[in-house]
Amino acid sequence: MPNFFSLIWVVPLAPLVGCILCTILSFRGDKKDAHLPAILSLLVSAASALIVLFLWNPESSDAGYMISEGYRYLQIGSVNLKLSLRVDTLCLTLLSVVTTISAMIAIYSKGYMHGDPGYARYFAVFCGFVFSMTMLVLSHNLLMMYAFWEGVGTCSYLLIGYWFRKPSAARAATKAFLVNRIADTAFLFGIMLLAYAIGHTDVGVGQNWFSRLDFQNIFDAAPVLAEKHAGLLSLIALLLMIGAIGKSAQFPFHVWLPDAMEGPTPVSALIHAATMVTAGVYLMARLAPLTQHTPSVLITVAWLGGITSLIAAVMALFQDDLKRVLAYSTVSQLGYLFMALGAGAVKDLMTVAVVAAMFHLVTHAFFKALLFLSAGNVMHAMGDVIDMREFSGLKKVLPKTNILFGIGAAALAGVPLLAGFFSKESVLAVLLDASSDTMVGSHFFALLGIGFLTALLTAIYTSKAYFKTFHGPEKIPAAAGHHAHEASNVMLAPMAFLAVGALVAGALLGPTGKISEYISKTPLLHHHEHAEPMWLLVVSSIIALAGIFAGYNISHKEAPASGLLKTLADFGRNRLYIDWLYNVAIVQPMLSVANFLEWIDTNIIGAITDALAGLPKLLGLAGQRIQTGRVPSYSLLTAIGIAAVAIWIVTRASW
Amino acid sequence: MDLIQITKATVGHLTPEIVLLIGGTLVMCASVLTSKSARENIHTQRNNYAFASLLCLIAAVVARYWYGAPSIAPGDLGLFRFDASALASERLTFLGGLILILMSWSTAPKGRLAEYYGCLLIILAAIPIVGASNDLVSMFLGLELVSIPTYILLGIVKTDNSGAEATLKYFLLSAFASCFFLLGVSYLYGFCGSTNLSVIQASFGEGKRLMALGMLLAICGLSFRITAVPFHFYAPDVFEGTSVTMAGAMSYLPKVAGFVALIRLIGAGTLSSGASSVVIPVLLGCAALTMCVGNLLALAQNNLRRMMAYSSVAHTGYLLLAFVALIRQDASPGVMFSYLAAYAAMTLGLFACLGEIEAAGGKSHLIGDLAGMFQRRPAASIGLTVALISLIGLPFTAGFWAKFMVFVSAVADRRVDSISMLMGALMAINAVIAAGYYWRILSTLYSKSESQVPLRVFRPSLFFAYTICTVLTILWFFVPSAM
Repeated sequence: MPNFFSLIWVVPLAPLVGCILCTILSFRGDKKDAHLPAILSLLVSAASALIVLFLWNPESSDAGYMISEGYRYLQIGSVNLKLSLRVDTLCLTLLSVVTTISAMIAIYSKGYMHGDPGYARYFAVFCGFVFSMTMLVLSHNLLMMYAFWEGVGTCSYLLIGYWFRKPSAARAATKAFLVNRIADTAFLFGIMLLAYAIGHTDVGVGQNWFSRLDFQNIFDAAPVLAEKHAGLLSLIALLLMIGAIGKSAQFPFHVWLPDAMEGPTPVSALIHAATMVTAGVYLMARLAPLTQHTPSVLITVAWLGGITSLIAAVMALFQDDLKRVLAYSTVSQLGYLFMALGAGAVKDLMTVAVVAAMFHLVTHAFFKALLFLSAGNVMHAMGDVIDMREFSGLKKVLPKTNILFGIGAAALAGVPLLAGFFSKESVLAVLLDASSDTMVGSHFFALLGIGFLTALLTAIYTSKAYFKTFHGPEKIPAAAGHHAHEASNVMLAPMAFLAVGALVAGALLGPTGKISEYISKTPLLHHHEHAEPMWLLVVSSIIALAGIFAGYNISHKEAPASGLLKTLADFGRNRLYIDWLYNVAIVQPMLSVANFLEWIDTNIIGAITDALAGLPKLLGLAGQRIQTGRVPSYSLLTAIGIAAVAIWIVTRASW
Repeated sequence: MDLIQITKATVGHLTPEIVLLIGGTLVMCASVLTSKSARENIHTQRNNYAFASLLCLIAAVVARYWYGAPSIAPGDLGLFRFDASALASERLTFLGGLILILMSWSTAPKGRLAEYYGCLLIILAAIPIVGASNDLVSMFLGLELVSIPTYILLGIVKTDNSGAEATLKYFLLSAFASCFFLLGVSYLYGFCGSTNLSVIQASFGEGKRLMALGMLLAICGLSFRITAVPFHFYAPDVFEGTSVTMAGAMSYLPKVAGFVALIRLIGAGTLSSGASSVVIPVLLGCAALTMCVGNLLALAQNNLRRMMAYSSVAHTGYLLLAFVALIRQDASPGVMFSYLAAYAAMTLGLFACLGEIEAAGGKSHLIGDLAGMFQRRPAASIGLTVALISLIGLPFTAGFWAKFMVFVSAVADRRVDSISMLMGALMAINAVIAAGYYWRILSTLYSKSESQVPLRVFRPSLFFAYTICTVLTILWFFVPSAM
């Protein structure tokens, strides 16, 4: 094993050190240096990730992956909890994106969070998040992945509720936590079922329940299970999928993500756009060797992704809050990724599906982070106002942000030759390929239609938001005061980096075939030739440009007063009444049940418990009477004890 | 290997203990040699003695590392056997010794410093001797080497009536227990014709009722050291009647000595099935009684010291369960040693915090005395909090893994008989009862009280003592393999 390979441990451990240092700093009165350990550790982490990415040759080992043995956390009997890292091309791709973008956003945060009373706490949780996320990506074991899955969830909760004194932030954090909790419960059941199922195959012989869940064992057992227990495997895949769509905010769990925008904007950029929400996609890609045996589940995934991408795009179209537009856009783009992954249902398309999903994931991370940070600049300048009805024509006030947002928006809309164009096109190409399948092709043909429609809507709402904010008559809200100004250089520099990514990442990775070649080196994913027809590129370009034009036209028009469009707009503005429906159908009935149970708890169970709790105390008081404080009585009791033991031995009849 | 070689190797391995014994003796003699003027300056004197003791301890640790792990094959016939258990008992003793010396730095009785540190060092030397003993004679020698300095320590740290009462009670009951130990040992010797433990264990076969009696009498004698019921009666009176530091030492050092002696006396898998059908029920009954009596009586206490005494009894109950698991070969001795290490960090940490509160002028006699302590003395309160959470056995502290491992080994998946299940259930119920009284202390710490005077006197040594404990308690949660 080459020496540099141990560098992989630096990737998660550097942020952990940063997290600990920031936590210590947060107890000090003077916290203004908290960004130093955070930014430094994240840069170190990113540098190590990139070094491993460039220097590690995936063909150097036969298996195509490497396990870096970790330290044994705990051994109880035969159960051996060993934290090891698994490195292959799939995880290195995501790892370098996560670490690079988090380092950039940490630098941005130095400017954005400046002067906030929770400065050190912010950076501590930020580093904690990067630690959990990198460990999640590098896990060699599904259960270990689950642990860090919860870790990123916790950090996300802490950061959404960062301004916890604001009731809306506290509520949003709780909502995100609970919605994720529901999905994670399914995920956990899936893991347990999987461990159980593997235990009944040859692969599970001699393995304890923890090591059964090593990814390698899962992949080995998957074909066996598919053959013998296809129904059980489908159930497992379905449960794991629920976990994935919960974390990635897919319908019907998408409701938490828009509310998560209550957190600081850099956090929205990092966690709720670029990295954490892609954990679900990563899980599905990671488990591709398992899910390819359960095409029905993959088709479900694809449909959920398709529905999500469409309804989220509609909702994004009618939002007035700039950050919420971006949030719904994130949900919609993640839907694209799930559609792409679902295409793996078609035989031999799994690799291409994973590549397309990962490709769009990478480019999306760049331009969506850029968009969020630009929105952060707007918010910063406008005195925390983010409602697009309150401001417009900001191109003079924020000239650089104007350009940066423009680049991000163009990439998102799919303007030809920018990042989003190539990656979105590769997703559509996969769907097109899948639609030619004789068995399930019709599903994917419909999904391709949804894909095109969503692409059009995406271009419309993106350009609408851009033109509404930066062009037209200049209007600045009162909250901004008289000093609405461009962001500082420390904020603009990382954005420029992301902008370069949004401009060229697509062209560099996609048409050159680099990303597909690289990810195909992941074990059990085999390189598969697949052509992307030229007409798809042309159609995509036309859709993007038409959408942008439409968006420009409606950007400064009043909302329609009546008619079908008005109804649609109301629907979109009210989030298609999904949140309302959840509240009426799930939350309120649950609250009634909870109230009823609380009554039982206090009046019946509580009474019994109190009575029981009194018992030990009574016994204790009775026991105190024996403790007389006199040595003779102590000796007597001791002697009685020994006599009892002696009698026990003498009367033992068995020998 | 002939006798000379064995003796030479043994002496080599006992170097740390010899260093401590010589050091303890020298420290004790030092009071005679120091000049009168030096004796008058109490601060210099405290620093000198504590520093000298620390130096002895460090020298012992260095000697162990210098000599390395034993390389000779375990001599079955020698007086001593150096194996993993012996090394683990030494490690536990030195850990406790370090914290106790730091705690004593400012709390040792002035005017009796030489005797105090001398006795402490000799106890520290004696426990590894018990842990390494392979013979009833060396074991008894080690145990008495623990007991006699303990009598002296109890007698000199507090000279008022309650102190004298505690000393006398401990002395009488300890002598009583030693009698039983010797009685059992004499049976064992009479039956086997040898005092060597390997020989005794090898001959403990079927149908040897008298031998079982001897073994159980010896166990009863050791039960006194580990404060198992019904040999625990002295604990509350002694804890109440002595200094905070000595209470901490009493909760930990005799327990280590007693348990390593038990491990030596009945090793893993040395009992035949007939023998274990007699010994194990007694031990299980004793464990059940110890857990319940300890926790129930602690629950009824308002006196903090007595509560901690009963808490120490309760922890003995859990350790006895681990010991039974060890005999049944469900668990390695590591489970017990890990528990003792975690227990050292939490109980000594707790007493160090109490010691600091008392040194700063606060009171810690009753639970109510700690009211509002978080405002008055935040650092010590945080130390107390961590120690209490660890004593309850909640996650993010070493106490969690300690209790968890005992629980898992007591109710190992091979043990599905009703008795083992009952023991597991009893342990769980007891853990809940224990949480009740520990939690009461915790809530008192953070409650409001009318006396808000901050305690400002700072004792660096006590601060270091509980900082070490707190850090270890948290660290061991994340790195349980180092426990």
